[in-house]
Amino acid sequence: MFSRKKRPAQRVEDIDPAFDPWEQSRPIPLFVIAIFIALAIWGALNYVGDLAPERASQMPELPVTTTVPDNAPAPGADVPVLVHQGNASVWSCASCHGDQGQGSGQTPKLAGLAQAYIVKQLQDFAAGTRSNESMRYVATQLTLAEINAVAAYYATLPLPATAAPETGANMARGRELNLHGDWKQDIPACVTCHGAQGEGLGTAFPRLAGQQPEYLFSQLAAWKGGSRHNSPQSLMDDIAARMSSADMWAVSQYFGSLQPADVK
Amino acid sequence: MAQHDSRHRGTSLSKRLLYASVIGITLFGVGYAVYESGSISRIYQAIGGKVDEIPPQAVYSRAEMEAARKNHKADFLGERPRVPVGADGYYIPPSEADIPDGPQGDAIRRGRDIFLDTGTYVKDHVGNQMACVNCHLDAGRRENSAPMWAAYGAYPAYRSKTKSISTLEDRIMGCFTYSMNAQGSPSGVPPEAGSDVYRDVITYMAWLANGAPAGEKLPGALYPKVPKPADGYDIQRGMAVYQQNCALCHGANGQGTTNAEGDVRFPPLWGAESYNWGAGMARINTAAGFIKANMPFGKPYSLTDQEAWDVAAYINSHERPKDPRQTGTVAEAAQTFHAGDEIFYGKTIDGHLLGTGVERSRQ
Repeated sequence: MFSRKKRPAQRVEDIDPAFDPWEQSRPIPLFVIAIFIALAIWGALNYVGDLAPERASQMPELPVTTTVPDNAPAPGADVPVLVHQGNASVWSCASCHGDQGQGSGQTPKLAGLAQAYIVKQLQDFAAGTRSNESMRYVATQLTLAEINAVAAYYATLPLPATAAPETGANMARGRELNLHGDWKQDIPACVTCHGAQGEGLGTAFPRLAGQQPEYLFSQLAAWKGGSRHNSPQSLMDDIAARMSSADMWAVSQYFGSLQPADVK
Repeated sequence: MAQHDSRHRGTSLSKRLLYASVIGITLFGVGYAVYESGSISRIYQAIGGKVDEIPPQAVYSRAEMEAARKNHKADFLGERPRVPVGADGYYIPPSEADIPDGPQGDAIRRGRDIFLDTGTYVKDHVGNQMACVNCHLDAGRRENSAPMWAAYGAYPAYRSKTKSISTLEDRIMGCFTYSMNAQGSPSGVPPEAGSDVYRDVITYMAWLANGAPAGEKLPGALYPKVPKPADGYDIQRGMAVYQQNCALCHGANGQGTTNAEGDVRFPPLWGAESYNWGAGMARINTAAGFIKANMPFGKPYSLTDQEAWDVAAYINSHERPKDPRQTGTVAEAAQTFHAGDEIFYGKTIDGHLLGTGVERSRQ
């Protein structure tokens, strides 16, 4: 007790006259730097592998739009402001989905999806039955009229061709699942509902042909893992749950590789 | 002194960064190796996580059967080839890729095309929008969906419907007469006996049944029998089941779904473009069995027995093309052809006598 009281006096005497308060007394441990470097390598490879936006130089080479719907809007005419400029509260659609609605990686291609399908997805994002934080925010900021307008725009947008990535996925298996399914696993053929060439059917069954393969895979995984709940009658929840990861990757790659020209 | 210090610190900083980089790259390498080795999922599985299961392998595959056939040919007293069955206990039919080349294979392919798209390949004898594959799923392979590999060995057989022996050709003719409503087709009749249509379809069936024993009732044959619920069935409840589970594809008015080109993607369930009153599917018990095991598409056995009966009753309580066997009144035909059946034929619902029929509008 007594010695405690005396301490302040002793401390003053203990101060090293060479003490520099700005000196870095403890350098960052080597191991922490090493972990940061390892994470940086992982992140960089991930970016290069999955998320790098399509290089500008590739864009003009793409044979744009083989299937122009009759009612396609003339370029520049009646494009909703949201598509390229956004507004005060939301960023533009094109900033993520590309200026031709082509998408990239896990961001879906919107061009050529049915209007009612896009409207339903936006409403489901707002309602939370389909989860994606960015899209939840965007969808809650839009009025029904705006949702209808952007959906109508993307529905009539011609299909940009996507370069089929070479990933070594089992394309033959993807084709088999598309055309015949795997009934021993209770997986029906994709063509039954999504159309003979994956062109989609009506408003409930979206186009799959030419969709971004990473996006398709991420959605199958979301259904299987139980984080997406907006499939009518939970059809896709059930089907995805019976698919192996390899099968999900195979069909995703297969549909991603189908070009608009392959589609009627 | 200060200068010396900073120089010293400088070298130590770059040295430290170098060390950190080496360790960092090693760390990344080790992590990647661990990830690729698959040991993460093994540990995940060990602590009770769910990972992809390897699909159950066939108990006796077709490849094993083929090998056993070769051996048996060389040594006919040796072990006989067995029936190829999957882990689920059902016969394994050959897959699309196994269709042989040559004239036999061409006939099989023609039969398959007729089976999948009957209205296109047998235009003159199909009087509605139905095709074989609508009731016999997976191109006639699916168990409990009246698979073709089970039907092939089941004929000729006595049928109470015709009160005579039916050959396989007679039976398929019945499908054209009733399920594909030949009376509404351009020719007005099913393909005549001996037609190439039967020759090709039967060749396709024989190929599917290659390896299945004849005469024996195989597991998965026909549609399963769903016991009639104690409280019977109810059309109103069936309507609710229909709207929740069926209307998405078959339409709110049972009209089915066609795509932009006008091809039928999901068949109509009632009305002029569906099966007629003489079809087996018009019986509630038959439809309930098919629905229970196969519908909604991709969700087999998801409906309760009660729901399956209710929705089957709802679907079959609508008007459809008339029974082609009817010569006198509906009441007489009901007595002659439908006595004792679970069917609304000849009954009056909402003031309408079911069985009077509905004809497709001619374009």
